[in-house]
Amino acid sequence: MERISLFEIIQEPKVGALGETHIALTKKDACKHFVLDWTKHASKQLSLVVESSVIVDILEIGSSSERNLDITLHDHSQVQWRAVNLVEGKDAHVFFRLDSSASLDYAFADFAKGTETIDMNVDLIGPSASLTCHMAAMSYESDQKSISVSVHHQAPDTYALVSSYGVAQGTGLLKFSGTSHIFHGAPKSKTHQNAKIMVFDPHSVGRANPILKIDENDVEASHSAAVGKVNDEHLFYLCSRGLTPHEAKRLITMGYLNPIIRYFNEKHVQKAIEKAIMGRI
Amino acid sequence: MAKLVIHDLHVEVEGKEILKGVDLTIEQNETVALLGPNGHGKSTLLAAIMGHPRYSVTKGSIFLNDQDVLKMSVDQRSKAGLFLAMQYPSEVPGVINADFLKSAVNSRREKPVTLFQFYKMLDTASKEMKIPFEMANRSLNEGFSGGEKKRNEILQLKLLKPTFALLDEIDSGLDVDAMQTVGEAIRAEQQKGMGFLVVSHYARLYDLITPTRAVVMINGKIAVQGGPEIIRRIDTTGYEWIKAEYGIDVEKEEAGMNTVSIGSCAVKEMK
Repeated sequence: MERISLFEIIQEPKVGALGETHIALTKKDACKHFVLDWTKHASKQLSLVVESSVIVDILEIGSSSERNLDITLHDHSQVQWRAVNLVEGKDAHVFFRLDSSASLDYAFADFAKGTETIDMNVDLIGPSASLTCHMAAMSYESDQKSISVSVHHQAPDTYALVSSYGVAQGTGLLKFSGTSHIFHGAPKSKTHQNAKIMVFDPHSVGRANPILKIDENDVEASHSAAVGKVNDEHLFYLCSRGLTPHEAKRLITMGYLNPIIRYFNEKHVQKAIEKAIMGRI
Repeated sequence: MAKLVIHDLHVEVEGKEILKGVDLTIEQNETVALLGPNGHGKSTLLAAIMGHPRYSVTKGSIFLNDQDVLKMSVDQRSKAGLFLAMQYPSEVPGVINADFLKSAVNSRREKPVTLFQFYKMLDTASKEMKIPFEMANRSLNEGFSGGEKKRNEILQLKLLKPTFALLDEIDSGLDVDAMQTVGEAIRAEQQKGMGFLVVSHYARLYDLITPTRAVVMINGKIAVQGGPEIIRRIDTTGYEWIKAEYGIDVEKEEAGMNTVSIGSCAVKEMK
């Protein structure tokens, strides 16, 4: 699949007061595949608008510098956003705003090294706006990794599903947090959050804090969190067939994080993610 | 001829002694039926031989030929030629059956098996065990029926070709046809010289695999040893005769007392 660089589609990039690049995706960009590759661009600030009824998919490739994104999805637009960072983790602030009936299908594979704070906020401001968000992350050595996804349901009949899977290794910390907030005036909204962390080593720390705030009746909300070590019975079963504990853990971890791969369309991206996971267990 | 020798084995689970001095020797070419009432240590013996971390050996020895099994890790025991078909095989989400089997096969080879060789092996074994080949691409045991899990255990046995196989109630959860399939697979391995230690409560499986001898485990010890005729006797009359003939009291499983007594919420006292 050929992808068009987001930074190339604008003839004269509009630069805002804060040095951010402004890009608008209009009808002529509909149904195209874009790539947002931070390693190939100097700007670390992006403001993106997807106009009404435009359907696009975007692959974001992370780099080793801090980044800020501000994205607006106008009514009835549909965005499939895939983010991957396999290099070095740096802080990111991501802000999505969804108008009525806009939908964002987001997946993030974060197997970057280093300490980082990823902060994502999604405002569902129009009725029937919807978000699905799948995260997979790993912390290594002494990394302190914190990923937070907060969703604000500000209109009726909005939907959000946030699901995060992670592995904490070494002496590192991996933290999933975020608040799903259904505002007063957003009845019939549905929000679900789940976070699961597998702790590998005696000194690794995993924290999962999914929070719900509900200010309206007639809504559906759930949250779940699990932090635990590799199941002893599973390890014994695999080892009893001749796999060393190391190999067994590798297979189990791969099986646990692998589902994120199927969200990515390109074979080479899938391979790169798989390699990053395997290389860091 | 390979030999598995268990001597004076004492095993504890969470501080409670389950095995209280087991002596048992199994030779290759033998199929030993291990019988006994529930809770007397049959599964414990099998799990301890394989090295399950929950079972701690406090005394005694296990030797496979001249190798000290108790000094080996679980994977080393497997590579040395021991295999445990579990009573309740784990479901391991995300771990693809074929990937797992390939790693297991490769763990005992110098040179890894080629993909073509492996699929051929797997295809043959799947056909023999009447397991649909597509199941190789599913998560290990996840969503498998009880019978499929048990057949998958025997499929692994066929791929790994151990010297001694320990089968823990392999027949539970099997329907009549699957029992036949499993029985045939075991017979084929017997003819190739594999040794078996088989735990089952039912004569039906034993009828299919004709054990060479039978041992009865009572109160954490081997109480009776003898020919396969013991199986028939237990199947028809139970374990009571052991008490009469050998003077061994069969301990009943302790029924844990409930710490909460029956209470009532509203009591109206009448004078």
